[in-house]
Amino acid sequence: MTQLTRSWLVMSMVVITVALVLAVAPGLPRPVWLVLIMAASFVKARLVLLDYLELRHADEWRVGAMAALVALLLVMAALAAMA
Amino acid sequence: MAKKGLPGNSLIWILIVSEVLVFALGLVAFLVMRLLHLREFQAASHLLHAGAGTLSMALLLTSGYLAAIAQSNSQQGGQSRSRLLLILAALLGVLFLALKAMEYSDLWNRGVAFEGSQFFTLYALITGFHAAHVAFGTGLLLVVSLRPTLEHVEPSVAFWHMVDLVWVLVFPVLYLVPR
Amino acid sequence: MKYQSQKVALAYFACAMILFAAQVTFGLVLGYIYVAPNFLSELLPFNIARMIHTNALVVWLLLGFFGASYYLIPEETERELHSPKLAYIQLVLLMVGASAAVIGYLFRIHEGREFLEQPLWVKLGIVVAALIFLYNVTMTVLQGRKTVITNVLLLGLWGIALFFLFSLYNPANLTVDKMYWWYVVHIWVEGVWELVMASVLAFMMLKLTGVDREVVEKWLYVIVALALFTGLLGTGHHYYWIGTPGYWQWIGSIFSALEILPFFAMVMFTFVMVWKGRREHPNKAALLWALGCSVLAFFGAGVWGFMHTLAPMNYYTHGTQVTAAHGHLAFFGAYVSMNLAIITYAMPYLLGRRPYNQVLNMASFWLMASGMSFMTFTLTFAGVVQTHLQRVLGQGFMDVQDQLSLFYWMRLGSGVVVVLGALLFIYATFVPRREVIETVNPAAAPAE
Ligand code: HEM
Ligand code: HEM
Ligand SMILES: [Fe+2]
Repeated sequence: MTQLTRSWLVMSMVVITVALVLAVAPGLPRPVWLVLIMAASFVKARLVLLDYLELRHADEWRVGAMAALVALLLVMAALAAMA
Repeated sequence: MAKKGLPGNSLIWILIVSEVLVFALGLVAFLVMRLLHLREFQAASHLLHAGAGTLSMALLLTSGYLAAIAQSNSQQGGQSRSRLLLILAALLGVLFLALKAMEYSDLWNRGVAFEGSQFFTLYALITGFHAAHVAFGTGLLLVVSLRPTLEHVEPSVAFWHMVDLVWVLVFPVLYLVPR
Repeated sequence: MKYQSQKVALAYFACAMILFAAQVTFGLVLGYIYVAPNFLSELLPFNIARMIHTNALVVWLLLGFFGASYYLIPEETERELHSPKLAYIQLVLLMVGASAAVIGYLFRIHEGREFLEQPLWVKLGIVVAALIFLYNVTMTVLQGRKTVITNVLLLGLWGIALFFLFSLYNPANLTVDKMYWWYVVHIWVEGVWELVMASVLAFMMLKLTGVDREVVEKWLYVIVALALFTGLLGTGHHYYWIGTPGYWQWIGSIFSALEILPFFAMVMFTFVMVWKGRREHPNKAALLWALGCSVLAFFGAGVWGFMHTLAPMNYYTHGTQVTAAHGHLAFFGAYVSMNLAIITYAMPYLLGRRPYNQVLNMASFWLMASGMSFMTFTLTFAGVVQTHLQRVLGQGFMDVQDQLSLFYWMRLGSGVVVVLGALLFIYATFVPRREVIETVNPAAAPAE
């Protein structure tokens, strides 16, 4: 199996997991829910960047992209967690 | 381009970064407005279909997967396979747009006014702008499927992945956070 | 000067400098009226003097763009201009139109929209001149070597003409009128003019630093992409309060906030080129203007633009002295400096001399740059006070103006410095010292 296919499978699993949680346990405590969706977002965005956009072997560009992604998700998570 | 450098055309990366910046600003604005209008946002978010958003996500990620395989086929000279995959990827894009249209018309039928509500103004702007990119990207994939050389395919597919990436960020913030 | 027809640029630059002198002088008149409101109130009312100040500015900047194009296009395409004669006809047309417009203004013949006050027939004359110009440069480029610099320049120049066409349409509905007005005013300075600026700077970097053309071209692509991506939808930052739908507040705020990026990229570009550069070009003054251009444009357009571009901020500052502060530093930093840079660079070649009056020229840079910066600071303070008194506390417009007079006096003072700097610049570039008699062999002009 290629790296690409593996990534697609992982992303699909993530999508299905979030959908299942939403369907089965909609009343999850908010912090848990936020961590779950932000983590799901991170996994998907990371794999899109690494294997779809082929940054996996692009050394410092990869590091920069990951840093930017994490920073953005942290900002969004912090805003989402307020109030 | 150096071996370990940025893959593909660096101009497409300028575009990708600019687009992601625009959407990131839009999403941060959305989250800030949510803090200022908590009730409205929570109520409004239940009018959205999280299921449709999830399905859209699956469509785009799968479409991106097909487009990525198309690109490696073009790279290895398998142009007719590449063409087929590009057309399939574009079809999933069309499905995404159809789903989006259904969501909009459903909201419309339930009397949602896109102006006058902070939630729906931003929802319409962000998803509308994204959908415009999906439409453009779909067209792009179809155009390059006519002559799927690597040179044509690579930037278009990169654009298509950017559209994916944006939805990965948009979907949770609009559909899942305000609930 | 490698090509005879480049000489056309000299006439354009000379006319531009005449209008430049007039423009800043009228600025002084305006600044004085602000502190002594009855000054010339019958002969030359404020609104008329203001029209002359702003129109002369735009026209001389355009003349500078034309001159710069006529200078650099032969060198880039490696052939003579298609028709130097047409270029002179175009210049005469423009100068006649500009003088007629000014005389008309003095007799109160003008239209109503800021910057576009020219009567219709003057506008049509401008269109004809633009067509002559575009025909001339496009033919030259088509028949010669094609470079990224000339492509971007042509894109910008065609865009200038295209968007000017919106000035011919003056709908009765005030909201629609304003939308079209900004298609000219905003998309010019934050869109197509930026392309001209970037390509002229690229040309100068190529010549002054000796960096490889491929490197310069890469930067140019990046700057152009960023400018168009942010600047076009950035028009929305003028659609907040003119009667357009509310979503423009989001579109305008988000895209225009990113408009700082192309200006930042231009700063990076010029400085990285100078660091990487292998060549010591003798025209230090030209380099100073080019670097000053990108830096002052970054502050005037980028930073001062960003200060009031987000809708919640602009709600308070709209149309106050903050806007005037930004307008001055942005125009000066970006387009005045760019023109003065290329003029400083080109004049020695046009006159067949080694670079001359370098110290005077650099002194004029520091005079103008510091005068303009000081003017920007005073107007910014004035604007902040005005915003608070008028928009927050709700005092009357004229009551507030009375309380700002100290700032207006300081603006007048800094204006005097700018005018002195401008006159010094004109002297330094157009009156070479007598001693330097021997002409430079044109072939000795630095190649790429
Ligand atoms: C190269 C230098 C200059 C440039 C690029 C320039 C540019 C401009 C621009 C773009 C405007 C219109 C501003 C707006 O619509 O907000 C303007 C208006 C004005 N300028 Fe200048 N100007 C220059 C020099 C001067 C000087 C030396 C003075 C003298 C003090 C001056 C005084 C004024 C005044 C008083 C106004 C009218 C502002 C108003 O209506 O409230 N300018 N100028
Ligand atoms: C070289 C580029 C630029 C020039 C020459 C320029 C010049 C001007 C001028 C003359 C005005 C006043 C227009 C009027 O008469 O109402 C203006 C307004 C404005 N500019 Fe710029 N500008 C530039 C770039 C920018 C950038 C990059 C931004 C944002 C980041 C910006 C933000 C604004 C805003 C928000 C206004 C409206 C102010 C108000 O509401 O009164 N400008 N600009
Ligand atoms: Fe603008």
